[in-house]
Amino acid sequence: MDGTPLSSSWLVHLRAYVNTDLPSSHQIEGRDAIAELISKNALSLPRLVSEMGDILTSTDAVMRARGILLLGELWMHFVAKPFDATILHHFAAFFAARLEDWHSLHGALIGSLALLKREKHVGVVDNDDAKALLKSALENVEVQALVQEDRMFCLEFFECLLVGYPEAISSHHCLGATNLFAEFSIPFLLDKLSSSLKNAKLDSLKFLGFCVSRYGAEELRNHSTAIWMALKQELFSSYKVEEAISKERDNQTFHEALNCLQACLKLQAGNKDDMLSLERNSLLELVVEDPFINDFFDCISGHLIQTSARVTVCSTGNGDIALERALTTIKETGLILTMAAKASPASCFAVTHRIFPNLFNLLRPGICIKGSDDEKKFEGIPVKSSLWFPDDVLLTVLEVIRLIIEGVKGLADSVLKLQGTYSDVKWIGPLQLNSEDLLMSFIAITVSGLQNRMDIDAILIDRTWNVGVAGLQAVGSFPPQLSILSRVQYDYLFSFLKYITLSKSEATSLWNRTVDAIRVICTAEEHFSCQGLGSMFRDSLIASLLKEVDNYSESLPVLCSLKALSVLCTGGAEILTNSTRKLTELLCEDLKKFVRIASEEDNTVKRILPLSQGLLDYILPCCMKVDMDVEVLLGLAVNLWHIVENFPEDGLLKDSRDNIQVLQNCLGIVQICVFHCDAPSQRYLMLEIVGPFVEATSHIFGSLGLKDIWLIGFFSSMIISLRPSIHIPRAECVLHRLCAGAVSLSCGSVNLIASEAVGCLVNKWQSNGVEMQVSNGISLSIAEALDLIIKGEWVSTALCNQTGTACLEPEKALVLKMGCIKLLGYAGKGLAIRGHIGVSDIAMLLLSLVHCKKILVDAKQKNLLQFLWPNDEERLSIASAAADALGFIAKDLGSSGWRQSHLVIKPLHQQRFFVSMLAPLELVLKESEEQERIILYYAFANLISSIPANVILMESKRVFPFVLESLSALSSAEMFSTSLSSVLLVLSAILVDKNGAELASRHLSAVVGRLQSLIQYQYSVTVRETSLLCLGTLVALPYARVFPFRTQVLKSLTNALDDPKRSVRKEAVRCRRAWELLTR
Amino acid sequence: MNGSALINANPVVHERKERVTRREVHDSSAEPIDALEVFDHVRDIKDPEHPYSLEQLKVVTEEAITVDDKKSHVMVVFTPTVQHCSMATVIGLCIRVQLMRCLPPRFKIDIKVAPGSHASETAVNKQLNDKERIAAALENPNLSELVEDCLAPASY
Repeated sequence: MDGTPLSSSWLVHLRAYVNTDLPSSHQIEGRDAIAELISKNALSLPRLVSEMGDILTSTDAVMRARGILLLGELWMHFVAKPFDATILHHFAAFFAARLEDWHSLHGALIGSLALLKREKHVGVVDNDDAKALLKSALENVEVQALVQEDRMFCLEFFECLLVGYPEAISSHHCLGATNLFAEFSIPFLLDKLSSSLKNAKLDSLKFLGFCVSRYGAEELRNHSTAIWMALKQELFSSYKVEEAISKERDNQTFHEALNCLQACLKLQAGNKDDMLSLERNSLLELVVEDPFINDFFDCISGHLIQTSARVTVCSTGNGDIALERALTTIKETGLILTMAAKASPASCFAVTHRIFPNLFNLLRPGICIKGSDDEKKFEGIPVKSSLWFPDDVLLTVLEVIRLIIEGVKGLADSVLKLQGTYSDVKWIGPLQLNSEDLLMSFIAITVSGLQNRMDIDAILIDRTWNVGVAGLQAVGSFPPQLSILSRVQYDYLFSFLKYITLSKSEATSLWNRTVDAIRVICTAEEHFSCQGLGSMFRDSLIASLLKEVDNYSESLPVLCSLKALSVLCTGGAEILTNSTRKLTELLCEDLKKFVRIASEEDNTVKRILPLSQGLLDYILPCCMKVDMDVEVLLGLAVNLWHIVENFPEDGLLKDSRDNIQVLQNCLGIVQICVFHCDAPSQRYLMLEIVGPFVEATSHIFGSLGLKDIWLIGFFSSMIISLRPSIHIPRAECVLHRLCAGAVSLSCGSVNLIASEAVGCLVNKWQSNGVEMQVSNGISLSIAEALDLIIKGEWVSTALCNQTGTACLEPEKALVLKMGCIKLLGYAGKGLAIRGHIGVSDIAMLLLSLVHCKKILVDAKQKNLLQFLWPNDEERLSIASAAADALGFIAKDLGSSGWRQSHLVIKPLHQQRFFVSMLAPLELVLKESEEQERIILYYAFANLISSIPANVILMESKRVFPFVLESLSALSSAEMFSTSLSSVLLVLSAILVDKNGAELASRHLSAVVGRLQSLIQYQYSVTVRETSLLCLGTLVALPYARVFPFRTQVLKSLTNALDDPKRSVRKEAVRCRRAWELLTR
Repeated sequence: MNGSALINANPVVHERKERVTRREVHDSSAEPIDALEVFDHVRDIKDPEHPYSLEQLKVVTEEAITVDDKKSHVMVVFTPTVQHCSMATVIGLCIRVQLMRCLPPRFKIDIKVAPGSHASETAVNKQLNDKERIAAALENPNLSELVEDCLAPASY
């Protein structure tokens, strides 16, 4: 039909309508003509729209508006014409979007209204579209601002929504659209609130809060009494008889009611000049003057009288109904008051003014602090402070006070955020007036907790401190402009906190809380960017803590001081730097004395352990978080090094556990420090230390003294932390010494770290293209460095130049060999991580040891292999150690225990290594005897256990025979049970893979046979479970292949059903069920 | 059920008991088969008539199962939902088949209806513990299909 003269004729009509220059009669004619065409189905709406594209998207607002008006009017015209749902949907979305454009608002409104007016039988817009329309209208249409005609459309629009789409309209927005509705909607909502249905209550509370905040203060005033009476019904459980009986509070309704109250109270602006005079009958006045507050006071005073009369400990939880009642009243009232206090400055003033004076009149007699004549002047702790005994009611009251203060603090923050400054601070007045009592009550309850901590149970005492310290924290961390404490009071607060911090009694939880509270108070101050009392106090406290560490007193453990320091220093880089400097000095001082002192009774030994531990655990992690000056870290490392360098040759240190711990701590500290140094400082460090190290360790290695052990340890830690770009002078000497240190028997405690250092060294060797320089100026490539390791000349150094192991006792020789193998593992891993080909040399060496045949090695390895070659007794332990080392090389870096330290990492290095090992493994397996294979399969299991499944699946063809063989080989001894289960896991991965399943179905008889024997494996439950799991997955293989095994498998499962372990039985039932179902 | 009247048209559905996850014992001590384990095997059997499990209909409970692992004996007492329930034998058959599959063959399995819970209690008990009649029943393709249907893992 398109393209006929008709089509061009309607375009004329269209232009006529859009053209505003033409008289309106022409326009209307044009519109009617188009409508006629559409109603005759001569023109479709989509076609019309596509032709109108230019008009509808025109930048000319008038033309666009006309276009949309045309569509709107057309829809009005076709209210009774059926259209299908897609068209309706598109137009609903279109009009919803057009409501945004105020130019075309009129047309869009008409269009939306027309869509909503449609009757069911001609197709209506669905709920979601109606919702979208509503949402858009609420966001974009300001009803009051519209002309009368459009207002009418708007109201009609909402009416249609209300009638036609009650679900869509169950959103509260439209009721709040204009305050003209207030007169009707508020009574309606209040009526709904009195319903007994929970959902109705929740809805109406939600609506009420929203609507009132929309209507404004004026409307609220008219209804405040009614609203307050209704809210009270919801807020107080005492009004609800049935709920009081069942003791089941409807929390959701309660909180919704609270929110509603807060929304209403936010509107209370308050009288700026005289906050005392509350507006008559305002909601605020109603709340504040309500008798429920008197109930609240009555409960408290009643309780206080009771406890003082009874004098003795009032046991809580004696099921006393009156007590329960009182607690509930206090809690509820507290929440309401908190909500009210944080609603607006005016309400805050009203509430605090009403509550605090009366409240403290009741409480004050208990806050008596004895033992200090002048209360303002703090002399020690008020040891005999309070008359209070922490009990439920008192704690609840104080919690209420704390909540109110925190609410007010939140209000203060939000006022500042909104206004940028405090133009008016009057509203905080009541709090300031009562600050003394506030402060003293929280101090009193804390002290009372301290005094009575033997008599109360742990939960209550914890709660006491929680309330006390949290209260102090709240009182202390107000923004300075609004501070509620005076200078003197601040001092008092701080000296109290300081007292608690510095006298760590057994009250750990109190101590932790206090330290944290100090931190919060100080950071709050920083947040408001003004240097105030808090930071001054913090600085002095830090100084005292440092002094405490310096003096080493028994009262506060060093570790605690350092912990407190680390908490207090967060955020302040400068103060942290200073503290770290000071602590460093102390540590150096201790370390100097450390070796000279024989007796462990000495304070130095006692202090150096916690000091080094604390630095490592608390202070250094803090330093890493802030941008710490590198110099401090470098200084620490260098100073420690120099002290160790100057250790006397004949140190007296015993090999006690504490001493080793000190060594380990120091090594950790050095490692972290160097790790975080930048490249220039590391370069400087190397120049500084390499020479002395090489000189100092040049003597015969066999008789290593204490000094050498520390030197090797320190040096290794530094090497580990170096960046790859750092050039190490005299690298071949360094490598030689480290290798010797790694295996030397006399430095057992640093063997491992030296091995790690060797690994790091080869990992970072020459990585930036610059070769390492050796002593005589010739550079050494990594291959040569590797040769140096493999040739094994360092072994003789470690053995003090004795030519072989023959002169050593057999046990020592074995330990030495094990150390060598571990070292090879580390070196191999260092190479493997960077993806260096040299790893294969080491791997072959290790494989020869596993296999006990020298087939894979070349000439240069002979020497080392000769040394490592096991005699008959050692064979098994050497072979399994070598297998473990191979596993270590293949292991994932994260789980291998190797600390991340600027390593050069090539992606997929694990996979590469694993694949490269398959061919040699195949070779040696072919050549080996039956009983030798077990240990080879053990090596294989080690290798495969940490390789990602998808890599194995890519190689499944090569791996599969190994897997099958190792399943039977490893089941012979208990020591292999872990390896066995990891191989089984590999098998289960292969079985669910498509290619793997094909492989398995080809070797099904072997697979079934092995699994059948493994479900009886006595040493490990996991192995039995996993093999049953694998057996169960077999049924997914092609039916024709699996079915022949059915009887056999079912028979063997009978035993598994009677397994001693329940989990195995469960798996057996599952497996049996799977095989059972094969019949069908 | 196509139009034919249900035997119990209005069964009461009870809450399922919470699945107990037992503490894993990692030593090598044996864990004997107990009532809960047997209950775990039978609780999810579907009722032949309704799409609910035997547990939901309280036909089987943990308390009504007695197990003696040492003597290799299991006794399951189940309670049909109505006195004249003709499905009682089918339910019993399902329980027996399930236990035969899940328990090691050394066990002797006794299945009974709870005393007083069925109109023809003795007859049902006799039928359920008669080897010949069990074997015969399972050879009946219709019956065995019904049983398999009830034993299929629950899909709700």
